[in-house]
Amino acid sequence: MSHNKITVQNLNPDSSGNIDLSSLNIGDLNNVTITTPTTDQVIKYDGANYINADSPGVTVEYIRIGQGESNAYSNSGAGNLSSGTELRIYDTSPINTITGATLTQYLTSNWYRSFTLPAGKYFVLSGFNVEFSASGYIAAQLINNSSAWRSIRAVVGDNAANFIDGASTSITGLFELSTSETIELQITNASNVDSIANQGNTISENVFLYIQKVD
Amino acid sequence: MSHNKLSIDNQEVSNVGNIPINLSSYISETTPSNNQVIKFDGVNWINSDSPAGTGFKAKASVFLNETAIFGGSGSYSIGNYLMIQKAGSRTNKIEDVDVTLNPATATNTIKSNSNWLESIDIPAGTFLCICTLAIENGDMKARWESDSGGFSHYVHVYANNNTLSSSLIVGVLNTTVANTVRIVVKDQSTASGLIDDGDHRALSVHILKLG
Repeated sequence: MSHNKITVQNLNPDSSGNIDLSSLNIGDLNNVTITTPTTDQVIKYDGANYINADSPGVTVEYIRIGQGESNAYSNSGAGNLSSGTELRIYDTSPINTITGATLTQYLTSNWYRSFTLPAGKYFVLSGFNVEFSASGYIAAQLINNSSAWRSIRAVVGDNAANFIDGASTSITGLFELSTSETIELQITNASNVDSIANQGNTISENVFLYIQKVD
Repeated sequence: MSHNKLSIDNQEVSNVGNIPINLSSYISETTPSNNQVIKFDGVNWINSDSPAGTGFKAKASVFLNETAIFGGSGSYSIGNYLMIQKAGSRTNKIEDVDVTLNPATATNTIKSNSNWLESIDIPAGTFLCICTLAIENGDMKARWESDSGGFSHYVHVYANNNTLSSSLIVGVLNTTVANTVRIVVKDQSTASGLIDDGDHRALSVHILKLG
């Protein structure tokens, strides 16, 4: 073998024995194929070769139930609005992009009772309101089927201060599940909440839940 | 020159006869950091943070700068868009390049005033829209709407009882075309007025692009 038989990417050594690669581009690598790149494209593997392509997108996984649609709570199948019961959420087209998550509704009423999440970390926003028969309040939070809390407890009503002074009127939560869990928006405390028959569309129009999977 | 003087990109032959070739020979590399990718910057292939980002992109946000002091006048009617102070010195503000905070007009809300916004233009995509509603006097039932109609639940807030309802309005809008979003007054018993700096401290809007 002699040095003048050695080339790299068809480049010969210079007089000092160095092969200068500065004229090469990443597309000159044998297993990389570059086709007219555009700004912000990246190199990715397509299963056979490395190619230039738009960056593989980050998929945001989330659930949205409740978008202000009108439906009477008497259609929800709920038996009461007492503490320990679900506050059901109405949505004719709920969004669920969380892989492995499921939503459970009452019959095919579009009134959602609970949701099941796979292991992971989740951020939660929720809000609610109901009709009252007299000065009162209702408190609710996310609770799993083992009674573990998965969010703060929020309270609304003109007598909310009788339950918690200065409480939040909206639910937030950030929690980690090591295994799959079924969770519901549960009423924890109630005072003078009106009957199911008298709720009309208030609950369907005012209750929502947003859950986002986070890293 | 002898063969043992051979080098590639000034990397010499190792004691086992190998010449390693680094990626930096093929790209315009600066000191790399964890999780960077190789991307094209329009001219060169470079190492950089991934253009994919976090999948949670801030598009618009407005809430009051704590030092702002101003008054407000005029009252809302049903169907009006909520006015939110957007003057540069008065607000903490994010307005991405493909988003526009549209100035208030008497056609859609209480009055025309370029220091206040009445709606936000957004491009196509899926957006998480968040508003913490605050009012001055009276009451207001409101929700997020786009050019295609409502896309959130309602809240009904009362100036004299801030626990009567949640004031958090959250909607997810998936739009295939450019759109305009706003908070719309849907009902009221007693008209609420344009808020001053005090109440405005609890008012905010945030729009984040998902994915």
